[in-house]
Amino acid sequence: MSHDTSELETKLRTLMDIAAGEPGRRVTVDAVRRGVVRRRRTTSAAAAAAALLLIGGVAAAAAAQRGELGHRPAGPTTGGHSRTVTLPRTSGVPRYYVVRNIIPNNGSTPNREDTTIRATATGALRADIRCPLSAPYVITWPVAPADNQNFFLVCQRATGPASYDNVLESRIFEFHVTSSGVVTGDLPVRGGMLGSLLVQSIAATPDGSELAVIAYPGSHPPDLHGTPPDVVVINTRTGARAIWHGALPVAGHTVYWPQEVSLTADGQKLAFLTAPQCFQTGCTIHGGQQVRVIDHPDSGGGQLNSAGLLVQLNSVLRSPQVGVADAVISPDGSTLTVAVMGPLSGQSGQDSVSVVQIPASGQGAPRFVYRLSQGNSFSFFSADPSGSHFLLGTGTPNGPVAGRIDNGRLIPLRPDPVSVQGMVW
Amino acid sequence: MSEQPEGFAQFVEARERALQRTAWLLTGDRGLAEDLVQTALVRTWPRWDRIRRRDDPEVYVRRVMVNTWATWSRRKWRGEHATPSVPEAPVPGDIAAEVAVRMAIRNALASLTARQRAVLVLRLFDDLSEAQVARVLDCSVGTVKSTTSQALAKLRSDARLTELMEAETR
Repeated sequence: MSHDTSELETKLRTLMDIAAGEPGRRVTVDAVRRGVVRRRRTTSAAAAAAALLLIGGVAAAAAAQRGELGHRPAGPTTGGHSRTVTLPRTSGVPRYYVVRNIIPNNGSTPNREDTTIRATATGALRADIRCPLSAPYVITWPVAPADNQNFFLVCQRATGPASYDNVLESRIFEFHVTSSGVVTGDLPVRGGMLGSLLVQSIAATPDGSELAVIAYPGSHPPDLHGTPPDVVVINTRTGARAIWHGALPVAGHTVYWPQEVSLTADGQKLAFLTAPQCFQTGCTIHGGQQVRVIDHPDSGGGQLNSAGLLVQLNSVLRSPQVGVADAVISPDGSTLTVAVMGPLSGQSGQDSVSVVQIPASGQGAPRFVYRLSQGNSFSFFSADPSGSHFLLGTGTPNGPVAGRIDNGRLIPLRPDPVSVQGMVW
Repeated sequence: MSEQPEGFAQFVEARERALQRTAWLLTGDRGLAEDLVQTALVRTWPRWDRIRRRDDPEVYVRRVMVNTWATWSRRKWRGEHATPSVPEAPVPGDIAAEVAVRMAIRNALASLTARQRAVLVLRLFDDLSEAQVARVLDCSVGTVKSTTSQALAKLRSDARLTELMEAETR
């Protein structure tokens, strides 16, 4: 080798060393393990599809129908109490977020909706998410993050584009977002065929082993308030489901219907935001909104009214004038992060949107995460799997704002907040 | 859940940063580099015990990385759209020199063929011998030598890189 070539090689090596720099994030064994599991599931799903083709689609479809919610036998579904789960570490700001926005179509045709992955740092659009269900009316929402790279998405096929149209088919899919923001396909979740239920909200454990959804009958009337919802808890490893029923609106009884659900990291506590309701005379409602909790929600199922009271929100927040729009339990179950509409300062007539953290014990003062004194409406709230980074959509006199909370500030995230319907990490 | 093979976690812990640096030189993109390393490790996992017995695991992982990148670079799925404004504040401090080197190296490597790029990265950056590079790329030592020579000749004509190398000498 000539001297020149050797010198060139040495210089190139030095420059390459500088250029390669230090990777910002680590590739962990856990991430590789999840990749291995996903790869095996994809392979077995492909093999199963091939087998289905061979043995005849009709028989397979009938078998799948039998697996739908309404045909499952009642009773205990799964155990799994001894499951050991590592709590998600508090990490940096998630690299990507999922955003659903509505693009108006000038009235002649229905508005277009899209669900996309965007880079947190730049707002750049990285991928479109589409449901693998046949058109024309497919609602690609709601969505929940497992670990910032794996997401669960509810795909719902309806009879029309309006929110009151009947749901024909609901199915939960899992999709994976790679480190470069690409979606590498979707997998049907075990136990995720929800027949014709309308799913309004979904929560997942960070390891993706357990899901909880709030579901209504798909043929619901436009006004949901007379229809009790169920909470369906799904073990995604086995496909087993536990169903927690909302009580029927019977005279003289107070019902606790869920508005939002969240799970602890080990899936052993399901917290739901609720407000006691009395539909007819004969019962008295004490107190306002509450967070109730179900222990071991994946076991058996039952009545939501039997869930224990975790926190009486109005007494902890010390303000009867506020409304809680969302409440999320932390991965370790020790705190609740709540999005509050109304003046926490006690001065009536003032607009305010706040995000505060309160101990799940109900003892101790709330800690402010974010406060917008001019906030006059609320559109969405989402916590990341580690429970430390939050997304918030709110309205101000100058228009809507949608973004992430960073050290008490709201950093706007694209796209135009006017069209944003929801965001999750 | 998959049973973790013996020694795999230690290998990942010890080598993932070095693998990511190599992957960046192959791909020129941090996110893609991370994906490439993760994908290579996912593909290595099922064969880990056999690889450990018969081969140098790192050579195997690098071979998977090079082959996977060759497949990815033939695909046209990179669909990022630029945005006119960014919400984040700029990074403090002067990183102009580092960025200049990074851009120059990335552009210079991008001007090579995938095979030339892989040979150069493995030979110079990872400091593998010609025989090891030949094993990774499944070719002869003679091919490694000739490909290296062609790649270096091409880089010599890169004005920006030459300028940087002269500055390095000074």
